[in-house]
Amino acid sequence: MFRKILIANRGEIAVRILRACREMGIPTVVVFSDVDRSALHVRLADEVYPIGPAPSRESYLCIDKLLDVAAKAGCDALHPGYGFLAENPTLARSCFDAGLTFIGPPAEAMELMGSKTAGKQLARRCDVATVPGTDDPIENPEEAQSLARSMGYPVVLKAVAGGGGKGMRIVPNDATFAGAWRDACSEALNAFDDSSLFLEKYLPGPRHIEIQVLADAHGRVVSLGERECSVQRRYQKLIEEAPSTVVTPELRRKMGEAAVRLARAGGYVNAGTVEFLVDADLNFYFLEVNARLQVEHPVTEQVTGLDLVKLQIAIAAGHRLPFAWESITPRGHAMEVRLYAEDPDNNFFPSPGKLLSRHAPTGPGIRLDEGVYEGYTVPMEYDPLLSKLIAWGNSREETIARLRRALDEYTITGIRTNVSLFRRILGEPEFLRGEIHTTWLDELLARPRPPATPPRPGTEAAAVIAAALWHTVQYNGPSNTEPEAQATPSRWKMEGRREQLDRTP
Amino acid sequence: MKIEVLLNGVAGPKRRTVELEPEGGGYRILLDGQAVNADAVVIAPYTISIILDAQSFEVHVAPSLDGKIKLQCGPHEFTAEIQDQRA
Repeated sequence: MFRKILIANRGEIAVRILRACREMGIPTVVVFSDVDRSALHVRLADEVYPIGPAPSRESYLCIDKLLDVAAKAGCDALHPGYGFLAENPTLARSCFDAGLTFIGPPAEAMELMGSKTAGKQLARRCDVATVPGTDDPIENPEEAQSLARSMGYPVVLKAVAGGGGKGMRIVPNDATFAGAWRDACSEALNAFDDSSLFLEKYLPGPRHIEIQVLADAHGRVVSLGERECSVQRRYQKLIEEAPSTVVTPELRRKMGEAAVRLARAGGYVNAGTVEFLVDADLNFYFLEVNARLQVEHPVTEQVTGLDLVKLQIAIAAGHRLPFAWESITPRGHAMEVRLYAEDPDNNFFPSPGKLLSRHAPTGPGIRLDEGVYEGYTVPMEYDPLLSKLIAWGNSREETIARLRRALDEYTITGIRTNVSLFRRILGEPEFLRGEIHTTWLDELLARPRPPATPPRPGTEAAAVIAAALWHTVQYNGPSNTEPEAQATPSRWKMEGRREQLDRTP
Repeated sequence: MKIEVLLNGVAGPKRRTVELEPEGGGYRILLDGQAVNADAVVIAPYTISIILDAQSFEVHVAPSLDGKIKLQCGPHEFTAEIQDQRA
């Protein structure tokens, strides 16, 4: 096993990996940018090293700096987490050259499967259906438009290097093609430094269902079942669940086999996700491979009882997978919501700032993976993901009830969060019936908001009294209604009580 | 001490008066001139527990830069402006 692991990331995923390492008895090294000095991963790690200014290009994305830290700290492995450099083959190669184990897939597999177009070509070779479209990047917009006409509208333009909906445009008709092409190119260039696009037939109202795979270096590749990630806002996943409400055992087997076939053909090793679009007739089409640990991996962990990060580390250390696909039976239902520091009432504008107070939910079936704490200041420089709240239950209904309860308990003051959005989604009849697809949430948000549920009697009065008491405490200074004052009796009184006790025979 | 609170919530703005009279370890509370069966305790920084007619409420308080107070009670949010006759 490894001597020491460098975690080349930040936020909740750095904390998640750090915890897995600690449970395995492996010391951790983390890096931090100037604005992350007080971040939770820095507080919890064994060794910490600064790597530069806040912009990620000057810190978390600097391969040289990461390798310097790894060498200085004596690490023999590096975990990239997700985002930043997680799917960058250059990092995987640089680690190999430096004698470090990269906890992730080989660079060659990333190149073969990480690119959307190369992934599609591989899928076709493996007899896995793909959405009709081009296999190669298209250079010429006129050629692309001609292809779109022959394919029939609507079509979708996608960035070859893309992800998270960036550089992606749905084109409903010929008249809007040129503008959509221009916008998608420009967005792709800004986001990925690569403006190449490809074209696909647009499937209306598809579901996004993905298969988690694990592959060891000894040829065993297993599927850990599906996650449904159809609740998305502008192509960003917000709620993930397992199992999917529409996946039958037969479909699960077929999708799992397709994912395993692909991973095997691509020489994949470690944890990865094969994403599919599923249409109304339950036909599934390969979308892309995410050659890394996914944000939503806890959903699979909750229904399988496996720890994917520990398995990633074990696989990277050369261990064999201890189980076969047939031996894994998902149990119960899990659902995850991604809590962001953003304002749902102000077009989801980021809401960085200090967490004045925070109450984290606990109780049966609740898991919270997070990278924040009370008093922490959420920086404006990075993705504003605060935490992932995951609920598990025996059924989907129980899971949703637990998630609702946990959301009601979860309180953060000082910044805005998207908790209210999830309260709304979890009350929507369509969501409760599992009638969701990848544009369902965008359509929901375009509808008029239902009137807010009136607060229960007494809520307003309680708020008024709280405001007055708060003001009084601020104005008068500490009073005996404060916990410190109530919990700490006078030393004179304590001394008197002690003397009385001493006198007791 | 008598405090006037302009509370903004789902039901629109409402002006209420609160009187907090020290009594025993806490306060006797009058709301709009009427004594209410209420107990209020600051249980943690920025968190106040209110028991009002045996109903339990937890109110999270966040002062904002404009001098207003943001209040969150379960899923419900309010903004309060304080007019303290002493201030």
